[in-house]
Amino acid sequence: VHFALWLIGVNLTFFPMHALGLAGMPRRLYTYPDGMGWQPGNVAATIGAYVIGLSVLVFVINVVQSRRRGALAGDDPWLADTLEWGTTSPPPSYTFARPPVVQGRAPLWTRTPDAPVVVGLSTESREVLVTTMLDAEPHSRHEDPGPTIWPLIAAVAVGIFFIWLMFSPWAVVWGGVLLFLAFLGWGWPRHRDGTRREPRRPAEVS
Amino acid sequence: MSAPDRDRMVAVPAAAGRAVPEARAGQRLVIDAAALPEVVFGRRALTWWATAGFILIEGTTLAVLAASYLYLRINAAEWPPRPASAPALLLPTLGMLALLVKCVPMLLASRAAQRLDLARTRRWLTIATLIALATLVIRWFEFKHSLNVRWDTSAYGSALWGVYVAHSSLMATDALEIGTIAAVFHTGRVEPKHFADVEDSAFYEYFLSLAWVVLYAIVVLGPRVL
Repeated sequence: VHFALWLIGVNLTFFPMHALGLAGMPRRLYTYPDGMGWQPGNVAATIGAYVIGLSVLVFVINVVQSRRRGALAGDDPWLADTLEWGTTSPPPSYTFARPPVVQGRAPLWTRTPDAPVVVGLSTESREVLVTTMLDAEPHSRHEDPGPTIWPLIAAVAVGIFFIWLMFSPWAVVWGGVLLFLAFLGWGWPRHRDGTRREPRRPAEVS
Repeated sequence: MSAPDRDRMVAVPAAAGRAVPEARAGQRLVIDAAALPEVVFGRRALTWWATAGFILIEGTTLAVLAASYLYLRINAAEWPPRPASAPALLLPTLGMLALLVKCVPMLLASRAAQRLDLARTRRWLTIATLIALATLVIRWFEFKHSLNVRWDTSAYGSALWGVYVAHSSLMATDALEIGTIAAVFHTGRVEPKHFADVEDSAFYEYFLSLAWVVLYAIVVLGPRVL
């Protein structure tokens, strides 16, 4: 019911607007002079908007009802073939404990019980596996940065740069210095030689 | 796994990354990522592609500016239009050559970085930074003495200054970049991945220098010889 009302409502609201636009009515204005011949289209659009409202009401009732006494959908209600359905629902923050290996175009349908998994990525830093572009052969590991405040500082510096620029061309110079310092703080290495701990790599597969 | 980073980085077993049966896990196949290198160079590296994308963006900017310059030129009866005269030859030529010379230490730094040779990488980066600073000084004097037109004198002046300012701002940020990388190599904080940064930086460096050879031919030599 929600879908049907939505489909009818949206078309009834927005389709006449195409015709009205071609007839010369400006966009996003709700008033227009009398006698332009635009009234039937606008009436249709108004009715359509109420139908959309009704459809949203049905949707809200649907949500509340499902929340109260609906059946649980489970991890993969569609028996889908793609990887995003291969984890639990709701998913854990890391999605997969170990990156799964894709064995075909429909990964979940073609997965064998002994499908390989990727092990050996760091458990202490955000390490990802990098593969070749076409054949997806694993070839290296890439460490993503950990949590840091510096991107926020850099964003504030960018904001200052451009707002300042509206008032004075000197923003290019002094804002540039500010930006440089922000990026320097972001990129400057934190570890002294030899103090960076070797990430632990669990060998066992669960 | 207590080997230092560097040992693990250079010694990559031939089977790294292939699916190998792991004894402790029964018969289950695993792909052991721990055996894969942490640092790779060239187009294998993610940052290389980012650098290539950046070059594409900046190259487009410079190309658009050069195109506007040439568009004005083919529609002008006189080039450069009076009272402007063509840019001087001495300083711009010197600056262009200095930019080309800078590619040499960057190439050597990049080679040393691929061998993870800290001392040589550091030395060539330092030299490249000094040349980069010299190119900036030359460029400053080009602005002061060599252009022979103000930016607001005519459309010619604006087009010439547009090309110059765009490329010079890239040079300035680039000098900051290699200066910063060189500074990192002078601290005790070098991580393996910084060696790959050196190579990406060199890649960008070649682009910046070669782009100027083309732009120099268009805006400095062009009004005289063509």
